[in-house]
Amino acid sequence: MKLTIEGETLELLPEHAVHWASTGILLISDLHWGKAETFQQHGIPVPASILETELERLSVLIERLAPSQVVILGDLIHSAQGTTREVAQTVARRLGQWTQGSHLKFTLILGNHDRKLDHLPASWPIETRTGPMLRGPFSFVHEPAEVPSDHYGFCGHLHPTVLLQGGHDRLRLPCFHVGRRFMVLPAFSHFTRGLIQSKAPGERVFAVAGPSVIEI
Amino acid sequence: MPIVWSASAGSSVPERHRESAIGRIETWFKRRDWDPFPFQREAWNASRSGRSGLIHVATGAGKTYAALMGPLSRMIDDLESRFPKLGLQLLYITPIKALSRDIESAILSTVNDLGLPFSVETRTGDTSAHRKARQKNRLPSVLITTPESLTLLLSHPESTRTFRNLHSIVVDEWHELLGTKRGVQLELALSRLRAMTPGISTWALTATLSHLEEAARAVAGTQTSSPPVILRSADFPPPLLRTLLPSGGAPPLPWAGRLGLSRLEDLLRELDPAQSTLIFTNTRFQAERWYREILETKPDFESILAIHHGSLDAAERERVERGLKAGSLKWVVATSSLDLGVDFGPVEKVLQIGSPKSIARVLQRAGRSGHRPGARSELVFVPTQSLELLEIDAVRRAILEKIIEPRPTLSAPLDVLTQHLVNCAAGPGFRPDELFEEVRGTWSYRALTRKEFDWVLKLVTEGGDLLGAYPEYHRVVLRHGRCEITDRRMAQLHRMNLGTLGSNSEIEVKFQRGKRLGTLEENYASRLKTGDRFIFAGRVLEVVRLAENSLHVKLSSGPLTQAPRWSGGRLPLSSTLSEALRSSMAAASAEGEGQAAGFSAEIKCLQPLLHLQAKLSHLPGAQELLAETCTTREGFHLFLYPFEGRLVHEGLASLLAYRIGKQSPTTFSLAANDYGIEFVSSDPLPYALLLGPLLFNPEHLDRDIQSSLNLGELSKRQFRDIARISGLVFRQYPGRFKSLRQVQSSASLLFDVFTDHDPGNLLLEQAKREVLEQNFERIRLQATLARMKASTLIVRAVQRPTPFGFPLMLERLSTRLSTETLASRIEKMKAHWTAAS
Repeated sequence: MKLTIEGETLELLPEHAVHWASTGILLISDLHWGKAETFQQHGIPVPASILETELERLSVLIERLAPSQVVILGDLIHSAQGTTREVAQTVARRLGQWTQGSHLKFTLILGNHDRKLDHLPASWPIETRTGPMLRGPFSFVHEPAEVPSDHYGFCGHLHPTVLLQGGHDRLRLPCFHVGRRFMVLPAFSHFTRGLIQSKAPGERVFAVAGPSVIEI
Repeated sequence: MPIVWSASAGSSVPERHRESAIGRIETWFKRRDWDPFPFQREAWNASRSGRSGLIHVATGAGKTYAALMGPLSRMIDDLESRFPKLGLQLLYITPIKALSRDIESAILSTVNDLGLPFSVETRTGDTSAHRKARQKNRLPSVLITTPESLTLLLSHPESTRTFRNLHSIVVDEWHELLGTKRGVQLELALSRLRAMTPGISTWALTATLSHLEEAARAVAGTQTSSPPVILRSADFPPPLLRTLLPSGGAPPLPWAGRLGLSRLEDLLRELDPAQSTLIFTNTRFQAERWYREILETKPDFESILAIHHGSLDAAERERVERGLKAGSLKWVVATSSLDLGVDFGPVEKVLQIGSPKSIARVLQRAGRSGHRPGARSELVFVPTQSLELLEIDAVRRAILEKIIEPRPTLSAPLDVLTQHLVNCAAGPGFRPDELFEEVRGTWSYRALTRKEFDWVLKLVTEGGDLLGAYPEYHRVVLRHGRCEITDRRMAQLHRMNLGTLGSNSEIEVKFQRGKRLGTLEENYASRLKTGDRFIFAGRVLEVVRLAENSLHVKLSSGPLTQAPRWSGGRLPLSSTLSEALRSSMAAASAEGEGQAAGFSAEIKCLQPLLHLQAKLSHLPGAQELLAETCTTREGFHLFLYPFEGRLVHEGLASLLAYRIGKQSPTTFSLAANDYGIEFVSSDPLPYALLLGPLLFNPEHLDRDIQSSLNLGELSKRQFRDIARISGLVFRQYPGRFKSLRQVQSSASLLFDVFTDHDPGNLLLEQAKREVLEQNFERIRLQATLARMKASTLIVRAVQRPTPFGFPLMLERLSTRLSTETLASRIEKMKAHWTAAS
């Protein structure tokens, strides 16, 4: 699903990502790496294979689009204690594969979950920044409230979903919530469930329905 | 280690004292001019010789004394020994917290009358922290408690010492627990007690139950040296059942609807301010509405009118119970919260508004009246819609034939076992081999395999197969062959979330000054806005504000803007009653004048409607299956009337939809009630195909039900309770454990995660099995399909919904199920969807 915002063409991907092809930027948000491990430490037996699956999904996307920069709109990790040595190693290995021999750069806009960690593991080649990142007409932030007034914003944090009701059917799907001043991306992680968003006038909602993105 | 004990091992009573203890009790009875019933004496003797069993008698027939005096006589004997026992000797378990105080005072007055030095106390969720702390040091000689509080006691490391002198356990209202996860949890707790203190004698008290052998086995465990004793009182006199038919000149009963407020005038004529009357409804919402209607029509009687249901504040419920006992309250509108009770003494009349739902419920509710010896209980039905007349006729037939619903026991639910393992680990700890034998000694887990047990063990010690040897997973620690909880926080979290009851979070409703009224479900309460007016606790309330965990309200008199709702309030018609209903229907539809003379008043009253059904469509006979087709603005309808009860119909509807969908993808809307099924589709339905014998084929039934389930959300919904009981999601956690906010998740999300990453997870399997066995009653579904196939199918095209079809149309929409691809489903929904907030 392609959209034109501020004269730029952006593609909303069913992989819960936004591709800005002309600059080679891939936007993703709310990955929550180490969430399963956080649960495990609290005695909740959530499968450990979740992280691998999530990394594999990102891997496929990077391979297909070959972006020059992946911008993560916050909440890369879930918690400090969930970022275990095993998690750090697993992620570092993947990051190594993706960046090896390419100019691919990872940038993280720190989100509220990321701030629980003083710094990312040293083995992760990821640049971090606290404030908004500006690029052309756009700004990249974590929460909607951080969007600067003079740049159209891309953010995450809310894990938006939409509840569809029609006739006698009902479905809850992750969605891109496109407003006048900013767009909220769905959480990249499948191990999240977010708020149900309602649509205000002038806003557009694009739901991820299996392999396609459909405007609601 | 199997627990084997003999009659003599269980009794430490020297023979020469036996007469004296029983003698004292006999004298006590004599002083009251009571003569013990034979079953009471039998129970005393059996209990004194250490045996276990079950006492099955009508409410108010003296089962409490039957169960109490045996253990008490052993305690009296013990007083004469050189070192009388200290601490707990008799444990009395009641499923209903509200009854514990009544039981306590009944036992206490007996103990005092007999001049015995025993302490009698209660321990439930309502017991003060101060008293609980004192009890922690030493429990009273007689403790009255609930299954949950007992499990909690077992979760403390010192419990081995606490129970070392326990010799008798009485489980009251066993039918309330049997066949539920609460009951299974109690079975496990009892098995733990038997392992800690061998030789305990366990007795269950019950009314209205069939399959007594199984019920007795479940309470006594399967390891007893002699089979449990089953005692009954003399025959129950069947209750009188009467129906308030519409009075002369009044319009006939409506075709649909469950609230029944149009019956107000008729009901009021039955009420007498001098006669204490229970007015039973089927849901809390219905109770609230009826209470208001009666109050508004008869404002002068406000002081003698009250409402009672499970969401009201405990203090208010107790006030109503006391008022009823004392005779100051006369008319009480109630739900099943008043089905049970020690003895409400002066209840003179019992009314039932709406469908009777089950035979057991009718017996239970009728039993609330006529508590005097020899008095016959009576129940007056107030039907709210026409077809309920048929149900009442069916109930009467069943009671005359002494048919009552069985309570099938659950087979080895692994979520409850998971909680039990953690509970044992939080307590004194356990050795896996010993605990396996112990658990296998319960009725519910008698067929548990070592593989299943080990799976659960691995889940709590290592987080299951998929975590591998994850070093930081430490819910339960296996050390030197013993399983224990070493993290105090884990133990505390477990205790706060213990139990198998209700998964809905609740919001407290209170006045601004602080008086508590009761609770509403969070889902409902969170949708209320300031200024909204709704009825609750018999009052019109206006929302002032919604605070963190409470809804602040004030009294109001304005018009209502909201109706309070509670989820899951609606019971289906029991399968036993459904069967009786089909007989009643067949009898009513039988031709011939001679027949009509023998009809009950209810069937006679229903005749005009049955004639209309016959005229517009058809009245199915015993060997017939009726289907109707109809086209309306809504779409293309198909009605099918197997008369098997809502649960079977829901299963049948999903199954048929799935099988149709395999041939031509389309989206249906399905509705099911106790009488039949409705399909609606915006496409013309392939009726010929649908009704073909192919769809009634019982072959591959399991596979097809499974497949249709995967499409539905049913297992996911079922998983909610399983996730909570097995400790995957927490309902409560201590506020100071802030880090726990990171692990808040929903059961449905975990369900998705497990489905993707761990499809072999046995808890997922359990969710599926529970949906199949409980919700759909698989075996009955198979029988239903076979019966339908053998019946003559009658298909009628009708112009408008018939008396049978009309209620279904009004009840539409409980299940959504689709066989289309996601994209085409969304395309279709686009036509009229709303992106709801």
